[in-house]
Amino acid sequence: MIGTFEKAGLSVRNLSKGFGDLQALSDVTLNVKPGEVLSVTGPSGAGKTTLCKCIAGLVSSDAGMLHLGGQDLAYLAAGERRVAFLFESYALYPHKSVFENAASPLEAPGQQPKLSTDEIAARVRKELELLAIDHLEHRLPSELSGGQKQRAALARALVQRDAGLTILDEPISHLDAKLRHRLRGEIKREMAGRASPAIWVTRDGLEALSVGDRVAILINGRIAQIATPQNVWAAPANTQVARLIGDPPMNLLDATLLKEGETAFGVLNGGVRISLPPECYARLDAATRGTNLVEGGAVILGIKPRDVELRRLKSVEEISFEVASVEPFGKHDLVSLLIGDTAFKVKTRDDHGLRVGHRAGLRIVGDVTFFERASGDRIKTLELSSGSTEGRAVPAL
Amino acid sequence: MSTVNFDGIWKRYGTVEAVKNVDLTCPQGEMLALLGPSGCGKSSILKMVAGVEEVSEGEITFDGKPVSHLAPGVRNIAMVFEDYALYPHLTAEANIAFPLKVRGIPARAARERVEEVINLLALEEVRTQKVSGLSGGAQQRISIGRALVRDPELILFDEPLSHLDGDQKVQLRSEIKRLQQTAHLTSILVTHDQSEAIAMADRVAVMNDGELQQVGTPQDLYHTPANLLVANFIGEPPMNLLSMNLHQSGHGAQFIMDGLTLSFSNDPRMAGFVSCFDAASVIVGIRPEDIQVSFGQLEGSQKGSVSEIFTGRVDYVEPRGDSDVLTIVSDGNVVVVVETDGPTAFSRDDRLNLTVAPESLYFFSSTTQCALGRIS
Repeated sequence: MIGTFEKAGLSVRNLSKGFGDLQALSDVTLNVKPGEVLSVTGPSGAGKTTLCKCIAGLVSSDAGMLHLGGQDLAYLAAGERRVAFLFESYALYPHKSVFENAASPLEAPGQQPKLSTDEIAARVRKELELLAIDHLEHRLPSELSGGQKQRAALARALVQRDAGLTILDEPISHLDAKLRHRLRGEIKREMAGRASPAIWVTRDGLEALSVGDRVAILINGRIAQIATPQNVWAAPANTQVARLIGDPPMNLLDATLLKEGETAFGVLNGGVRISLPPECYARLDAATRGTNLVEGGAVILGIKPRDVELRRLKSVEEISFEVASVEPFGKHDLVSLLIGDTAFKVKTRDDHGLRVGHRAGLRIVGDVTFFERASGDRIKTLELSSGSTEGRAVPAL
Repeated sequence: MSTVNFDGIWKRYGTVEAVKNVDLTCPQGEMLALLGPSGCGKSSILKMVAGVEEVSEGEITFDGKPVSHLAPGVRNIAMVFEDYALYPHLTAEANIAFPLKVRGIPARAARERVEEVINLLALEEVRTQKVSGLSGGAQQRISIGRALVRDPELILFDEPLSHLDGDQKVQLRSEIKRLQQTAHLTSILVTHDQSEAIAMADRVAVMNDGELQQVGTPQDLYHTPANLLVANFIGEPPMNLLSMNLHQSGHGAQFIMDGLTLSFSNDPRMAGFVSCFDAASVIVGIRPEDIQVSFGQLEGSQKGSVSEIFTGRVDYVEPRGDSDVLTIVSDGNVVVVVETDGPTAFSRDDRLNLTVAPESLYFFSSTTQCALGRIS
């Protein structure tokens, strides 16, 4: 049965696709509402493009159901699905000019509604202007740079305002930062005003957060999480998601949980302890009741780069870490400390004066996310700084 | 390793001038980044250093010795490529040892050197594995190992992180930085990505259209961009650039454009600063992170302060996790991009007050596009 929400939008149910031994997609389920942009991100080879091609009908799926605008897509050929598709490879017609390429879907025999030559020209020129390639309309693809080709292909996708679905596979990856920033906003706005859903595929986790009303993270052909950008960032479903999201992504440290009397610790490899305030411990205990995780549990601690303060050392006895790199971004510095094999990232605006080879201590001032080490799944996110005991690294006993 | 010097370098392909009179120095032990959009000439410079392209005019020297007439093989330069360029069927160790093998280095000396490099790059765990099964990050570390193993005069990094995903990119760039600084590697990095250049290089040379725009530390480029082009290229999201008219008054100055006025009417520092401007029009630059936003009514005391306040409505919110980027349309219809600590609760059509401090502003000439200095 199809609910009303799927009726107007896109519904993908239990979609699977294999190529020989490679399972490209496994049991993918997602919905996209009209006017909504779902950003899809994941590492290269995760199945992002295969997902798009299955939806567009360019690749047949092995199992699953696809509905668009209430119609079962199983019975529709690619040309009948009314999907506007921007290919990562552009797929421009080499013998057609930029203008002709962009106009081509509107001139196709099956195009509904039929548009006059003037209407087509007006639509095409509007998109070419938006993308700042209106001065190139007579050029052939072979006369364009990579970024210009990408914009020509993007124009061809955007002119299809009456499409039932728009799929943009890496639409802006080859453009310079300023244009990319402007287009993120403008394309998003245009999509929000349409009566059809959109899928925006990107390898860039930051772009996925920026453009998606919701973000789907695809890893090894499976959906790892679908949530709002804020939730994906604040509460990643597992360590694989955490590795992709954030600028830079969350620090992940292997640790063992330990309790002594009323105080609990996360003990890192190498013996460094992070003390947990009693109420944090209680909440963690409650969240994991019955799993025996807290006592001697193997976890991964996730700590966001901005949730840490650097401490200058007051005495040589204090626990400290070697500074591996200092990246001066102007508005903040990104300082890496070596904790075991991990380059632990701290995003700071302080005038820290640290250089490569110096040593520094650290203090956690925000959230810590606990992941189960075996599965990588998130257990709970807790604010360490709320308690009287601060979660600073203290020397091992 | 040696100091690399570029002295009046030109590269011409027929009538096209790809590199125009570039002077640059990469001191021994430093990493110099060549940063710019595609077609800016950075790759041509890299190819000329490597010896795979001829220098049309000018000279490249290593420690004062001209090298541009030397064949690539005798320049003793190692290269780290975007796509790793490893031998997929060989193990990590065999890939690293390869340059020593082809040079006929005695087996024992070669083994010792390979051992050093494997330790330096922490490749112990993967040494016996075939590289084709390893992650991109591990493959790129092996390719760096292969570059290091023969003690080159210079290491060239050509977009070394482009093929890596999220955290691998972030991890590897700080590893490269640490390695470069602790082992004092003289190296040149070519990239189109400002964050890679800023993260890894001691100094960054910004190129455009074959010309060197500015060379300086990442902090120099951020705080004192030499011209509009550098200002546009360094910083994410990019700087707001507003073409405004300057009105000087006794105690301050106003910057006025259609739809937006920045008024520093009681600010003697500003008055003194702009008094040396020789044109009535100026381009005012404001970094998105230098604008403070707040809800609510303006209080009298705020209105009288030296920071200028104007109002606008939120047009678009881009969440980025620990920050939000807001596109704001001022009451006069001027678009301004703001970056603020996130996550925020701002949403479309919220009305906000925007505050900018005079010392955060950048100024550029409307005619030459060169920087006019900043208020210190």
